[in-house]
Amino acid sequence: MSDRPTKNATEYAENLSHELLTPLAIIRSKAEILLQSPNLKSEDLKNLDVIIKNVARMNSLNRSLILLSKIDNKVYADRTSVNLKDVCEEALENYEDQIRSKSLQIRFKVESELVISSNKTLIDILINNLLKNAVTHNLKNGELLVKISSGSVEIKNTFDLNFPPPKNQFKRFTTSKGESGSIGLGLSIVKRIAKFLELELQVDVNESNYSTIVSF
Amino acid sequence: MKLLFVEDDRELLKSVLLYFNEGGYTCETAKTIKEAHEKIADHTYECVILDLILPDGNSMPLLSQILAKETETGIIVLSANSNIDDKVLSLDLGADDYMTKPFHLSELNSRIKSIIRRKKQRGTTVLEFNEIQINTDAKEVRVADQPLKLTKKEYDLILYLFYNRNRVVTKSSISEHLWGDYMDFSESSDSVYSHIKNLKKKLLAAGGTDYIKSLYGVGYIFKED
Repeated sequence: MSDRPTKNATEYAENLSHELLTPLAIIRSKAEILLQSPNLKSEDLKNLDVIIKNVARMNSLNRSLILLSKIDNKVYADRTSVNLKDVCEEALENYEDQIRSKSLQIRFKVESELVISSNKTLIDILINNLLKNAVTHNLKNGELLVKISSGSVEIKNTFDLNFPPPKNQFKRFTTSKGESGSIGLGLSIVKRIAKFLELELQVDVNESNYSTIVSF
Repeated sequence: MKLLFVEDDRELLKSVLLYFNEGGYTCETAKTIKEAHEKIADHTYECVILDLILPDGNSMPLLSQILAKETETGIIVLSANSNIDDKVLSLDLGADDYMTKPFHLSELNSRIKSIIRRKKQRGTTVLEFNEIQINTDAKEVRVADQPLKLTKKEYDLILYLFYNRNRVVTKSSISEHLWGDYMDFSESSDSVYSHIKNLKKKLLAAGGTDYIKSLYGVGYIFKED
């Protein structure tokens, strides 16, 4: 275990998260090696698949925890000029495969230029997480709106009525029913980033649409 | 081809030795900076895989020693820290690549091959597998000399499978290779499947052989029967 000096609990948590990376690397490498052996039974392959998927899940969870502690430890304090149109375009590109496979109708409206002085890394993560949710929780052939106005970005999506968004979704580890493998830290990261950068978050839900407005 | 793994975790070293000794490499290991120092002084390596934090200190100063000995040695820094400063500093000091734990062995393999190829490529940039030719300069794939129209992701995918040919590559590693950290694996699993499907379709339509075999949903293997 780490014997690095710890100033506070979040720093301790971050150190612990880093200590998990080597054991995760060991488990992942052993699974990859086992997978190479010939004549594995289909039952063995299925079990290996579960191990491999859950290493990825743990890794993702751990990465989110590291990010949350880093935000708390004010690692992302530097500010540069950030153009929200560029950030949104890049984020849409990151999810183009998922957008295509769900045949989503995208509307990207830029009503006004929006350039702010902020932390680029955190703004990237914030927009990507919101967009990820808007894609993941969307319907097949559903709609997705990204609207940039002077002072705010709105991301709005249609959602599956059978799996409505949970009420306390900004709390950590809340996922909607029916999802498997989802981590549920995405929105708490969004909330934490908004708090740190002093942005306002407004969520509106009606019977068919889910919308998040970030005001800068 | 000679590789040096500088890493203090015994189990991780056992894994890389098992995996890379079968791939036509000769592998050596060092568990401390002192040991690495001696090995680098005595031997020349095609690629050194360097863990940043070792029991006797930070291994960053080894970078200049490696490059002073042989400028053509490829260096991949492995770190258990996602600290962006470490990444920038390692690359500034001459590392060719930077990876964070937990890495996939197949990802490490493809990066080692890509670095060695870049350093050694005397004019030739075409990789061949029977009727398939991959031109890494033009990022173009040909089947029986006919150019194949691939998307950027499909190109990245065939190159990744080619570098890892004759080995099972997990869907999880393909997902991370194509989308990086942006995607949780649970969300990208379907996309991996559809990219594989499209790539196979295009290879077959061009008169190529189907070398990509699926393994019960766990992963894929690119090989000749």
